[in-house]
Amino acid sequence: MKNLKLNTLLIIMALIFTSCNEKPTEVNSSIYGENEIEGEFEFKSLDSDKFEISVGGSTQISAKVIGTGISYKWNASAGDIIGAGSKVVYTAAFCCVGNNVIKCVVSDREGNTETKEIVINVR
Amino acid sequence: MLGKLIFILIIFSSPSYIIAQCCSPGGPTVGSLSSGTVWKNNLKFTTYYQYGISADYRDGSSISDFDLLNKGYYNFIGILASYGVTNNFTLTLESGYYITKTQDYNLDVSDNILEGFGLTELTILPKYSILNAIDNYFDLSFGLGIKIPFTREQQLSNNVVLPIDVQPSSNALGFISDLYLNYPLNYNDLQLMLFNRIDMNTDTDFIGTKYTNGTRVATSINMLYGISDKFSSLYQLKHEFRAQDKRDNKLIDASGYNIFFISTQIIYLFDELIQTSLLFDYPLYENYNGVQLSIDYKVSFAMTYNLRF
Repeated sequence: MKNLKLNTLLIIMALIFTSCNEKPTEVNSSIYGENEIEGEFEFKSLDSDKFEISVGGSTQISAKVIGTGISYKWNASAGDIIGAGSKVVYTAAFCCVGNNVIKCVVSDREGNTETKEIVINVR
Repeated sequence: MLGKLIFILIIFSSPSYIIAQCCSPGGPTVGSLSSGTVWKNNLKFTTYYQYGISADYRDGSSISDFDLLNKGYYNFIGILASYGVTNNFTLTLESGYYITKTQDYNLDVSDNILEGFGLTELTILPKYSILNAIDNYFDLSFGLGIKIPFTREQQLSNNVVLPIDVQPSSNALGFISDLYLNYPLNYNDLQLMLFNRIDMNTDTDFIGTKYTNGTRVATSINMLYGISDKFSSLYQLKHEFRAQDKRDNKLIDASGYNIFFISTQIIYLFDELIQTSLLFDYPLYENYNGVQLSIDYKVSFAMTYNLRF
């Protein structure tokens, strides 16, 4: 009986200790922005709601990044980017019909940098 | 009185120089303040403020229902200095600063404004008087100059490169030609002035593309009328043509235009050396290639100082 109680206690303690695995923690998005997760730096994806818009239309473009202290730099070969941070809105007028490249350069506080680009067709 | 007016000639007698593209709020009369040559050892210094607004799109000459922008507008300060090296040769420097150059988007986003600010370019324009007369201020002069950008880098706002339409500068080297005629009619205090300016730009790198602003040709005919010893009025009809812009050597749709402006100006002479002007520019006729944001009006206020050495 005494051994059963001791074994049970050991099993419970083992369960408690093995459940405390280190895992990525969601950091406060109000400090680092959305989609930022503490851990190694990685520019996971650059995505758009739409890859084709009509003149005067718009699409939201999102950058998904793992890291801390992330900064985002955006540019477009033609058309207009409105907003800042991990999510921006892209729009274009008649001057910018065609395939336009939207580029995002992300950096973390360690100075690591990565770039991704997508193409939006304006028709 | 008329002689003095000619000598300290109205800076706004020259046509607008609009940095407008498909969605641009437009641009001020930078580079259009030329008034011919200045007498030897005289310095004419002008500073001006201009506000311009564009709130409608046009397809050709007709109003369009396209509404990406609610409006575009700018606040601009310009300076111009002309020094008479000799009675026939004048050196002119021109530049300006956008306090704001703004596009207000008709989009359902939290922050729908894009705004640039900063220096435009420095224009260095030597002018030579082909024919002039001291006794009646007749002046036919010609100038060839260059336009130098203060930077070749595009402006960012919150780490986002601003679109080309709200960049304060073309970031490109340019070349200017300037032809000016002042002809006093000697009738009831009237003067006739003709002005022509051609502005050609080289290309600039814009986000990995080669961008070239279209060549601009601006021409105006002006009539100056003396109201009293202190007040004068100037009436101007001006035309501006701009060729289409190019991106990687391909013509850009929705760029380039033909616009006729009518302009009125009231000038007040404090004394022989200082004058102030209030100017209103209104487009009489506008024709754009494709659908572009069109100009509503411009209002300007200027001070001119004449110094003698």
